[in-house]
Amino acid sequence: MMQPDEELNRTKSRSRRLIYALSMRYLGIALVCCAAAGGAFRSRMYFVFSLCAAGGIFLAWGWFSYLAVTGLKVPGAGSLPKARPDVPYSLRQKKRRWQKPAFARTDADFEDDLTARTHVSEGEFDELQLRAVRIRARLLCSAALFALSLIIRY
Amino acid sequence: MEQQRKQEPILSAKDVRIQFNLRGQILTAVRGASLDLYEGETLAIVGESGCGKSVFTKSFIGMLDKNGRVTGGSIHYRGEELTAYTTEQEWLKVRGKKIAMVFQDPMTSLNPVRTIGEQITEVITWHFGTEHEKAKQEAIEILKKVGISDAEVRYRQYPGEFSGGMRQRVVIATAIACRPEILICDEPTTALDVTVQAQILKLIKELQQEYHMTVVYITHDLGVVANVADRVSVMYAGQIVEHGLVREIFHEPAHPYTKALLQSLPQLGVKGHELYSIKGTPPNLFKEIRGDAFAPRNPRAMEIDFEEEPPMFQISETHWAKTWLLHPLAEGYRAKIEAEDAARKDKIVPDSPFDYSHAKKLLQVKDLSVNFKLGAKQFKAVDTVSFDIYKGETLSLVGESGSGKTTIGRAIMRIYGSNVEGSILYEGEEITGRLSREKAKDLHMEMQMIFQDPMASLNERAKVDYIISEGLYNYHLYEDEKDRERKVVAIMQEVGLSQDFITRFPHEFSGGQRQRIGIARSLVMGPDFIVADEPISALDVSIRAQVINLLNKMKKERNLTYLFIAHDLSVVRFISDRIAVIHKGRLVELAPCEELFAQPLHPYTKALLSAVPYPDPDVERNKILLTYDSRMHSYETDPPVWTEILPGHFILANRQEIAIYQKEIDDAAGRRAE
Amino acid sequence: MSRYILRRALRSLLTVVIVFVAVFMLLRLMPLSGYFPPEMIKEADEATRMVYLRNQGLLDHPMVQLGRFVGNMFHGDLGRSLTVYPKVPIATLLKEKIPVTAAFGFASMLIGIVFGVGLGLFMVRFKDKAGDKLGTVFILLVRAVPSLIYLFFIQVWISKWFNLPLIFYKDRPISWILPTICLSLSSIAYYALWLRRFMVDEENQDYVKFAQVKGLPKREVLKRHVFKNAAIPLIIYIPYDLLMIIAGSLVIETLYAIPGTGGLLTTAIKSQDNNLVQVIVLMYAILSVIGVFLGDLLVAFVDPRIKLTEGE
Repeated sequence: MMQPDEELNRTKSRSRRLIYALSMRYLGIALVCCAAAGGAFRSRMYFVFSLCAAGGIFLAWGWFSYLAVTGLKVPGAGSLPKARPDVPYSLRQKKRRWQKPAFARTDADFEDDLTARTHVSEGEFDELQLRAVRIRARLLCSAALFALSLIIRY
Repeated sequence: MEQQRKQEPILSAKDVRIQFNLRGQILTAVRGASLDLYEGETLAIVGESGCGKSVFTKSFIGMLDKNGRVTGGSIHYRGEELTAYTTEQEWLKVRGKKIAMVFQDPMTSLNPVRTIGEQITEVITWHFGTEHEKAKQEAIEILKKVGISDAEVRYRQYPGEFSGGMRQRVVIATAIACRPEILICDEPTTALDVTVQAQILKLIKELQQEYHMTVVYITHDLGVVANVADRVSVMYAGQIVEHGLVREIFHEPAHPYTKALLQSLPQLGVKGHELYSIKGTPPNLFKEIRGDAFAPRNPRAMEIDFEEEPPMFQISETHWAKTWLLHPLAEGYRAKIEAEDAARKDKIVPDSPFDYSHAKKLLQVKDLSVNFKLGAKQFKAVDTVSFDIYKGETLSLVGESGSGKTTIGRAIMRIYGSNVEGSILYEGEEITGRLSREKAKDLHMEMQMIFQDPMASLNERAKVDYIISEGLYNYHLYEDEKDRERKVVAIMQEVGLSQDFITRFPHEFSGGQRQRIGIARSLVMGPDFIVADEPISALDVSIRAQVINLLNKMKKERNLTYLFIAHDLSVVRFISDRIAVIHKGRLVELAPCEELFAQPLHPYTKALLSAVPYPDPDVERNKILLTYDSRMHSYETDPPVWTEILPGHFILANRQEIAIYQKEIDDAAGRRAE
Repeated sequence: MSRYILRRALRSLLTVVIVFVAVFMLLRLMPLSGYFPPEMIKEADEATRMVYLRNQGLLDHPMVQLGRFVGNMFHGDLGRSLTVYPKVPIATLLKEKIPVTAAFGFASMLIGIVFGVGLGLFMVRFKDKAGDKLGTVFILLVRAVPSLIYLFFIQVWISKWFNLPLIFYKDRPISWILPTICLSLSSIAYYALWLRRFMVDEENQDYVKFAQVKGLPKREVLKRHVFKNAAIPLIIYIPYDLLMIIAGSLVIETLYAIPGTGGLLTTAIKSQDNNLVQVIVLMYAILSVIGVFLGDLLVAFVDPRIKLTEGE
């Protein structure tokens, strides 16, 4: 049996892993979009500028999702789902897997010996934790984008 | 009581007919109801929801909704004909000043953005033209009178700062602020916990004495009726079908509907046997009703019941009933029915209690705590709770709202994540924390939950077919589409749903049918263990009996184990083998059902038992209401421990208290020996 | 309570900063051609253009540009307009235009609240009667008919009947009447509509019925109980509306030839005046955040429930 403290630390470290994984996913998408923007303008400078712009977007996104979680009504940002009186039969926390295309699959979608024990997926967190994780991931991604824009010379 | 006969009634309603126009359709909510109200008495109007009792009394103060109006009959009040009132001006002479009303839900009866002081004072200044300062003094007096301490401070507070019971006190204070002659209480305690309910009923009684008010209760709870009423009127399908003194109604009911209502009470049922239940649902009031409205639901109705409406027959000076059974020609039939009833009652022998000597533990809960975060604060919804559930038994978890009983149920169903501490073993295996997918799936199939309102959380657009087979879909528990359909139909038959319902939508069903769907949805997975979270709280008396019977039948047929969560101790007595009482997140007492009722030890259990209304006026009038104050324990120096004080009887107590309880047990045993 | 306000204020400040950064960064992606003054677009070659851009600091890293812009802003310098009003400092431009628009907007909003609330109350009091129907017709007309049509009629006919000037003159107060009325029409309709809706909704609540059962006449119940509850959701938006007045109205300012801010943003975007666009967008973003904050604050004072739920 696990001690409460130990349990807490475990979730902490697991949510850190998920933050890292998520922010890298965001970063990947952002980089592709920025590269496309730079290409469209045919300018290295625009690539850097769009990195900054993407950083700004993720910063605002993260912040407004934070506000939404803490109760502000932000149109479109989506507020916390109402605490439902009952969880219907399923009792699931996102138990049903969507049919994913092959390229979107991660380790978690395969249950075999090759999946690392440390692998985390969104399914094991509840909605509130997930939101906290997403907010942090967005802010981290934004910081990474800004940092990247400072490194690249043009 | 005898004097009342000679008195003139202060309010007299005769053949009142109230119709509503609902999008062109005419709904006759009240079909010729009559009522006399004598000064100083307490009258209770009883009936299932939708029988028009609320509408009927609302017509005394002109508060019918806009599309409704009185289309026939008369309401006399102190020489005034109330049905002739048309303008608001006329009604204002009566409303509040002469006849006041208290609504069901205290949470919504007060304006949330104005202080309670303002809301009481305005009544006084408006009706008597009192100066504001003086009115304020008066309001504070009244607040004190309804049992609100610190009235001066409370005067300036908003309704949001009061608990439900306190708000109902404020509502009552507002209603009596201008000394009405008649106080109509529309289900005044339905939304409150039992202990609070008992206090509020007591308060209303005291105020009635003090102000010489006439009180009309509208309620569906026969226990409350037994407690408060002098006279009772039973209402069905918009008519008063029987009225009489409270003892007459409870001990010698004449109308088949009254009898059925009383018989379907779980408090009066015999354990292990089918509870009497009224078939079908109340009639559709959009249509013309022919004969006795109750006849279609009465298995022993006579032919004439379907043909002609019975008149009111007088049984005694105070007791009247509207049934053909009382006609001289039906005397033989009546005697036969009564003989049948008596014979049946004698035959029934209660089931022997559950045998624990060979029982296997199915679920073991050890030191379970559930923490919730509320802002920066953390609070324990459930605090180190331990109990076992044996295979095949029904364990009930009883407590007031907010006591954490539902949280325990959900923790067992693994709904909470990391905020659960302690361990839960199912068939000897730990089920808290992370489980492998296979194991989680197995658990979901073996453990199921039934909810208070299974439709509340459901996709309105899903058909019954989908609702029931959701679990099957999730785990793909069927071979092919035909197999799935077969399973759904089979389970629907088992819970008593017609298989034509398969393509219907949830909103087309009544409360009882919905609960059946909820049960079907859980059982289709073939579980061994079921957590039933207040499955009958939202239902009417008659439908409640049907659902209880269904749950018991399923238990027997499928050999299920129940964890039954409820707030009503009296209902629980009928179905459980053992009862656990929970207070503020901690279990305070756990004992076999009959032992708990015979010998409650913990002061909270005692208070709870004394507060539960029992549907017998003689019992109700003589009981002493106990109150529980958690400050009576001295737990700082000597913390309490969960102790098995008698075999199978657990209690939360510290060393000093255990000694006291032990003595209590010995005394009781001594008395029995004598 | 004060902790609640402080927390909200800090949060709003942070929101302003973040919105500012995000918008500024996004505006860096506007085409560079928008930075050239008109004469340069025709004549200058690539090299001179680059030199110009470098001198203006437009090729620096966005972070550096942001720092410079903020520094200048605190010295009252918002840069200069390029194409719409060439070479005019934007600060001067706004200083001229905002007071005009704000004066009209404020007056019309005041009228809107007073008459809108009045109309709303009137409609609720006589619900489903002739007065209510008349009000509904008015609201429908204002909301459904394209504003240009009735505004044009007002300008042409009303001015003729009452002998009012057709357009705006700065020195003749009598010419200010018509535009103010035109501006207030839509806000009258807006406030009346929502107040009626909220009040009718509120009337079905139990506490309203209970107040009636207490013996208060309908009129008193509306005044004492329903109005305050119904006003709370409206009050939230008043500071926001008040601040966003400076956006002005394109149609009315054009019709009456008022030199206000109406349509400034549209014009600036159309003529690719990057500096002007930047300032206006940032201004709107900041003002709306402040407006929302003030609305929250105001409601916290009016609604006793807020203090409770925040646990302060």
